Amino acid sequence: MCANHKYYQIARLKSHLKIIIISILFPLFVSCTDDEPALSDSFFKIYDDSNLDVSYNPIDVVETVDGFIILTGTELNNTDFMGVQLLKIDDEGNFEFDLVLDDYVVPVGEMYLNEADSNSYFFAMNPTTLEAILLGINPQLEIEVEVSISGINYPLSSNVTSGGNLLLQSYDPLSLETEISEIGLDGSFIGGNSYSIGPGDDVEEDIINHYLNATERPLPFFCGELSPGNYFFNGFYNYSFSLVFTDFSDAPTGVVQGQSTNAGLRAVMPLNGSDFAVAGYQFDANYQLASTTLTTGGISSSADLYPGNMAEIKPYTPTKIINYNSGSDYSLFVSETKGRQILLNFYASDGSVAGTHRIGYLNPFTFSSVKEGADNSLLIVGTTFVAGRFERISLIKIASSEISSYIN
Amino acid sequence: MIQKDSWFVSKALFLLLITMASGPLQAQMKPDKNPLESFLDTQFWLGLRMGINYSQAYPETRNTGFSPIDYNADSLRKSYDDFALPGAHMGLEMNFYHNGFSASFQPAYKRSKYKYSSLLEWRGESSNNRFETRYDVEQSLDLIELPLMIKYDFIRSGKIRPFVMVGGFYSIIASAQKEVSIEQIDYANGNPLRSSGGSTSLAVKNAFQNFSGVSGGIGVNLDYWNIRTVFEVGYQRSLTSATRPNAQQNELASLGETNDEIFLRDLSVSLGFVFPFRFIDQQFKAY
Repeated sequence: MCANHKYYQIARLKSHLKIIIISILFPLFVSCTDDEPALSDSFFKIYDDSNLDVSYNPIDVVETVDGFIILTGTELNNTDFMGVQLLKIDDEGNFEFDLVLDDYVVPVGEMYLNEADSNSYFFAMNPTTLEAILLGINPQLEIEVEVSISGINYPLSSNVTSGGNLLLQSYDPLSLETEISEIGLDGSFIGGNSYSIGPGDDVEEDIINHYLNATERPLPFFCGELSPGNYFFNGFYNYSFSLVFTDFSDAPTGVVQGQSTNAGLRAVMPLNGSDFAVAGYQFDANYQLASTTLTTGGISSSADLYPGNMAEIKPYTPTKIINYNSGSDYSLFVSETKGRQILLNFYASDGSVAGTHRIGYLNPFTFSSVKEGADNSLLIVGTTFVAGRFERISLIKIASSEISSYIN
Repeated sequence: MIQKDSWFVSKALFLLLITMASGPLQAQMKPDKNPLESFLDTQFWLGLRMGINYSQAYPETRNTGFSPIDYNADSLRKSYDDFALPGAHMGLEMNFYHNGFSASFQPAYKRSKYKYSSLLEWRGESSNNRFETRYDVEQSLDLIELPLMIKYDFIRSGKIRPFVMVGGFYSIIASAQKEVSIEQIDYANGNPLRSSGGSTSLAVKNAFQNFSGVSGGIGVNLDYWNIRTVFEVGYQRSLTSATRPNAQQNELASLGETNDEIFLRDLSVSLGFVFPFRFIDQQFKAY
């Protein structure tokens, strides 16, 4: 082989070597300088307490300007009613500080964040007088509003109206009536009415048991607004646990009757006119209807809605329904399974199941409430059992990018 | 801070490697050198490389499985055992040798392991109301590792040729497995009652990410028969985190378990067998 040819070979070799080295080093160089972005803004938090005698029953969560506030009932071995506690959580889900309201018991959801004054409003009960208390808490957990709602006892559920007032469902043990009231954020009574639970009947024991055994067999009290001036509540009415529609006149405008406390509805979400997303129960069986028409102007029976049992869902499950938009609108039903998982069912507008997600493959979880976060995320508050025995609050934030992966 | 440091280090590494790699090539450009002689100083080697490694997980940022309400999160810090579990690696070794310098590409399938433990405690009103759990975690990472090393033989003749090496690596996460063993101690009866809280094995690849870093070491080439045996002792240090940000929060938190932000440091011993490539000239023989 001639010398020139060898020169040529070596020159080619040098050229190729440079290319090989640079092409191998370049990805390494880039990889060192370019950090991979975070997966998402999701988090999965459990708020532990070193006191093994305490357990928690969270009620609701709101997202504030700088994080979150969790409203929780707190149970100690030596108390009957749940105490009231609020946890301030930073925007990454870490516990910051808390507020314990020793004077009040049995906090009631939903908690409402009023953006105008940044206060979070909820009701609780005075354990001595049994009167409902309206509390407004600022983002630093300082009490801004603390008003006793005179004449309204046993608060059971609350919600917000389109006018920015609060709805409060309560029970009057003297007149044996369920009350629905519209309350201003200053505690003023705006309107409302009360409806008989049925002459001669007494449900006070059921309500006390609901307060005392909130995590075992909670009764599905809830209330809401159908349209301005038209409201609904789910509670005791005329010998049964029923969904009652009212315009605050003396008689309900419509009733979907349950069967005592053995059958009825767990949650509803108005869709359009008389169409609702409905979660119901028939003894130990549960069902979910993505869209059904309810009789808002007459009397009907929840038993007629029963399509069949969803065997996965546990009896007496807490259930919430919210609208969630991920490109299009979905009805999101959140409940608990018999296997102590939190079950998220997304239904499309045509009633088909668009997606399902479960939380709790390693540990048992319970569900309390779900809210949509400001960034289209989902905030799910509930509990889990640390070391298999200590019930602790969990706050799970699921980023919208992850949620879209659950939906077909 | 680490990210900024890693940028400078990686940039310096890049320039160093380019300089080292191109230096001998520039020397080759001298026209007065006999080309055949130059060629004899140049050789490709290809072979197998395998070995064992021990890893240290260095927690840059601490994370906790729980967010405590009434106690300090520092009590949840994990305790790491450094270089405690053996891992293994196996792959190819491709060397290009020229005038004492070698560019060595060593793609390998590697398993790195490390372990840590944490202790949780709950107390009640009475002294007997006390419960403890201890979590022992073994973390295993399966990696496709792409190291590129520059070796320098400080003895260039004979059959025993010691060398030093420096370079960088890029590791691709192939899989990750976490084994959590739980021990429980209950003091409710006055005496500590120990029991197993079970063990869980989980695939946790999504909690980790590809990472890169620098490495160095020493070794010796043993040239007997028509084969080169390469014995190396190396040290690696990742400059980017092996754990994925924000992915440390998942259901494992319900067991009190979550990843810290981890940077891996690694000690390895490797043995390679490489063969010379004959090219250009049929008469050329390496030895």
